[in-house]
Amino acid sequence: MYVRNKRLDDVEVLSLFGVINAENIGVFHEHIERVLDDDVRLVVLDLEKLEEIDSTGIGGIISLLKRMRQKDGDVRIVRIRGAVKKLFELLRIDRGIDIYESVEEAVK
Amino acid sequence: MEYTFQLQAKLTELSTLRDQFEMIFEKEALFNDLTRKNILLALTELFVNVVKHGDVPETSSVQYEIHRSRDELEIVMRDWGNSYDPFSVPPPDISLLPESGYGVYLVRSLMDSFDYYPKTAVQPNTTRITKQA
Repeated sequence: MYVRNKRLDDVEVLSLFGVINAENIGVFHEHIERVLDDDVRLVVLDLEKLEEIDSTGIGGIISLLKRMRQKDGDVRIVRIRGAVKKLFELLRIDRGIDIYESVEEAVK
Repeated sequence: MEYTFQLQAKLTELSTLRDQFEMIFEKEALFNDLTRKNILLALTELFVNVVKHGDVPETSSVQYEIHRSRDELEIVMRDWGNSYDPFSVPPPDISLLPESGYGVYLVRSLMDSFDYYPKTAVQPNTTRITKQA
């Protein structure tokens, strides 16, 4: 997996690619720590190209959300597809995190 | 058809676990893309449980037996980690934002059957999952 980041003022867009799981979660954690250290108000996770995620990856997203909210920020998810979308529906992720169709919609 | 292999109980073996099962799916022409991903997810959760919570050395092995019959794929995993009761784990409540506790629920939800037999003095923990072919 790899992560591509883009900064729009105080919004950080993290695009996740491939498979995120317990073996490679460290890559995601590095971006989480960087974002938390920066003056970021909102993190948008673009999951369009994320093919698979396991419970460790979901835990990483939840951890990021909680830590962002502790500093009055937030995390939003956009463009979930395929197996990841099915998994998020199974877990009812939308009960805990706001999900949008596009980055533009999420940053409004 | 029957396949067997074993892994060391460490997270860097996850790639090998996925490679082994992707090879079997291809060879047996089994399942659509979504079902393959769901089985890989269930296998990932079970393996990571052993590595993270099993309290086993990295040199300890996790053994796999895969049986393909006409109507189902049966996967048996054996390990010497700490035993647990997967059927007492409650479903995660996302509104509480839990950072863990999803794995067993996912295995139960994604597979057609899930059986677990804790280890004895002479037998390792045995996890059996199946998916209709």
